[in-house]
Amino acid sequence: MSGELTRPSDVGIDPTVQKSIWGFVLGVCVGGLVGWRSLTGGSHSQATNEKIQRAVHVSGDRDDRPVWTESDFTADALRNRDLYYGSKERGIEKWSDAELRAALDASLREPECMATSGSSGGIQAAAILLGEWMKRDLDGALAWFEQVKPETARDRMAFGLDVMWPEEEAERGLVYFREHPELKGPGSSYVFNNAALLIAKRGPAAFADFLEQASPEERRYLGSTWQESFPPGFDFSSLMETKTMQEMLDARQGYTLLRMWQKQNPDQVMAYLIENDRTNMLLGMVRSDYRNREKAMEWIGSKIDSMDAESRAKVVAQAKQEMSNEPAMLRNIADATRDPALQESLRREGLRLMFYGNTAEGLKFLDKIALPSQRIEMLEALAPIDANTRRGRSIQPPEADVLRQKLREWNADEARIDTIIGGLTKISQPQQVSP
Amino acid sequence: MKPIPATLLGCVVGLALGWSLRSSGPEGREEEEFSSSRVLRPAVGTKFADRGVKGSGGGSKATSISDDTAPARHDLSVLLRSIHLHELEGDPYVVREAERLDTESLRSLVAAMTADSLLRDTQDQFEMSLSLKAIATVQFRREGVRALEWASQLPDPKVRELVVSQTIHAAFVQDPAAALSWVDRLKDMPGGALRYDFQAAAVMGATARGVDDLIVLRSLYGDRLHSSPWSGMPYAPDFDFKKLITDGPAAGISFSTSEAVTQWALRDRKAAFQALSAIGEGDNRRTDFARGIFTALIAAEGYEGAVREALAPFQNATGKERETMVRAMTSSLYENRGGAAKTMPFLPDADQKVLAQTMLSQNIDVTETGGALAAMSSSSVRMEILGDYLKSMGASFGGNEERKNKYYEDLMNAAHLTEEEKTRIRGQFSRNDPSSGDVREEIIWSHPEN
Repeated sequence: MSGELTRPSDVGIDPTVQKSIWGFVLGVCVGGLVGWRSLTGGSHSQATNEKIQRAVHVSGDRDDRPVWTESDFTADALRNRDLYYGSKERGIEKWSDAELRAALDASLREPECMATSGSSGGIQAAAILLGEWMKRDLDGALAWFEQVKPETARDRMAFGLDVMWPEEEAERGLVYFREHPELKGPGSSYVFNNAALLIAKRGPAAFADFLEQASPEERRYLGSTWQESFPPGFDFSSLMETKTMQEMLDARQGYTLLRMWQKQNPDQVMAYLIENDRTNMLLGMVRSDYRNREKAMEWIGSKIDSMDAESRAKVVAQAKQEMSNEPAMLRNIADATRDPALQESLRREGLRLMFYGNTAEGLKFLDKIALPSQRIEMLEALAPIDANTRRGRSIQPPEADVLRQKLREWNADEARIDTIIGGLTKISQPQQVSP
Repeated sequence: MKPIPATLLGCVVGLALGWSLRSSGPEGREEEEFSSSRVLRPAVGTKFADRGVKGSGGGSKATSISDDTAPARHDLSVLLRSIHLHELEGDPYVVREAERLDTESLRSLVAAMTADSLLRDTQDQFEMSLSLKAIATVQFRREGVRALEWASQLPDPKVRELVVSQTIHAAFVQDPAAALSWVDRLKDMPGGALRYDFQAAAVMGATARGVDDLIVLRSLYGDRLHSSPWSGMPYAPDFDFKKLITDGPAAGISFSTSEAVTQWALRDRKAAFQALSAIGEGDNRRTDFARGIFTALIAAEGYEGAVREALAPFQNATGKERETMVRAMTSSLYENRGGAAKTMPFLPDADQKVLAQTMLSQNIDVTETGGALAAMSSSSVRMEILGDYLKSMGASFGGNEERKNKYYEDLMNAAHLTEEEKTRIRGQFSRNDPSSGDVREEIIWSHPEN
């Protein structure tokens, strides 16, 4: 038996006990494995594949909580969409009134909260606290605010007062801020814009009165904080006919209102602008839609063929003029139009961006051309710009490499490639102008 | 004893053992320390945050804002911590949930979320990117640069760009040394790998750990680092502002001395004043220090208190020394709307004159300057310095009379001059060339107080 393991029976252990020991050992192994795996995320691999929407749940007991699925993460991310940062602070609603007040009092002495910049964490914190209190007890919060000392602290806190003022009480807020002009700096306009949305629900006449009473500065910032659409069915056509609105449009203001109209009835707003000789505001309206600019530009492109010749010419001329800042506008028009002559001329125009240091955007004008040979021909046909032009810039080596690669993919031979790139390089050495 | 109960008993013991071993092991510690406090920890004895290898520990024991097992604390420090973590790492609650997933699941999650987000509009994409930031924080903490390797190999260019940018952000915050090795590899990403928001993240992460980390950060990146600490960012609790001011410039850290002094004075006013008094007269830093201190005083004490405290040490100072302090006040006051006008009543006449003259000479804002002039206690002094100023302005505005006249009118209106005073000034300018030297005298001599 030498060299063999000694079994329990060999040392005189009862067989029943032996079975129990082996059972226990087996149990420890299995249980241990299960215990280990339960915390190493054994079920996690399936988590991302689950598409079951669950309520976002942050429970007190971490171990009991289900692991978040991809849907949970996505839903949680999108929950933030329409919330200002103050509302995103989780759990603030669990704070007691006394805790809110104590924290606000502490913020008056906290160095980080004394920064002058509105983006600082401290200013945000104070705004969040004040906002939660205003939501619960507007009068109580205002009473606290008004006794804040020193006055510089109150001035800082006014930012939070404006940003976090309960939306449903915005009209009261507007009255408050108009009574206390010392509290608001230029452009701080959450209360004003929230009040505007409330008043819009009463129709165009009430809204026009509201605009009439607004200061020039308030009008300028109209809509700057809006994240929501206007009340459904709002009669924009009637609003546009009012004197105040005409004045605003004459002053190139009110783009946000036009965008709100566009959201509700894009064809109507386009027809209005064209009929009223305000075609030049179309592109401004689109450009001001910084959230969905790309889609808005696609929309303009899709409408170009339905415009009358004069309006189309105006829009195209403006898009050309703004090509270096907004190349996508011209490109979308070029890609959308079914007028072959217009399409080709706009693409040739767009390609000229390559002379102005924007090779990538210029090349995009070729994306929708199916035939590589046609793309190459268009590049070859590029008329050189004046070598002494002030803004022209020779193509840079990394951009030239990209272009060379693309041309090779399109089966251009090296000689043609060199000619094209050479044409874009000519402006690197400005010509001597003869006296 | 029967075999089946023994097996069951074994299972129970094994389960307990398994949990216990797991919880005390590297991954268990990771979970306990998911507080995301690695970046926001005391600066003492720290270098950069741990590279995020599983179980490397290194997190501070500070109460986690996102740890629901801890008793709920509702105070300002908890809220500030949450805001800082949002900036540096993404939503701490999302970080916590991401920490519960293993590495492979995190990768699948990112792939699924980016595929989703690209279908959505710009605003949704932005919101999704905030969650991806939190997830990238966990990925980088776990895997270090392996997370960047993975992200940079994602096949879809748009997804790759989105994920790489969030991961390099996490790298800059957690481990700028590791991020450095990727800066050149990512030079073609939009805005470059050293674009401003990444630099700002690196600076913010380092500043939250302490001035030493900031100095190391600068030594790593040299002149490529353009960002610098700014007002209101999360400074480490024991951040050594004195060291920043004295050693920072030599280390190549560019920052505003007056802003650093403001932050210092907000935390330790006495030390900042002592530092000011140690600077010799004629040293340009005196103005920066004075301005920084005054800004802090205004924020903490209001205008009256600030004037009282700022000028107290200068009661017996020479005129020039006191003037330095009053001139330094001016730029602080510009940061507070209407600040100069509100400060004026608390200043003695001589200081009022210096303040108004400084504002006129800096010519920054007609409304602010005019407001300050209006708040002066003596109208004759106001007319005197306006006369001096207008005399010196004769050749300004490039000869554009229209612009010049508009400026004068705006200034007079903002200074609340009476119609009679305005008429006198207008009369002088319609008759004389302001540069001729007659204007001031005429304005002063024709004033009723004289």
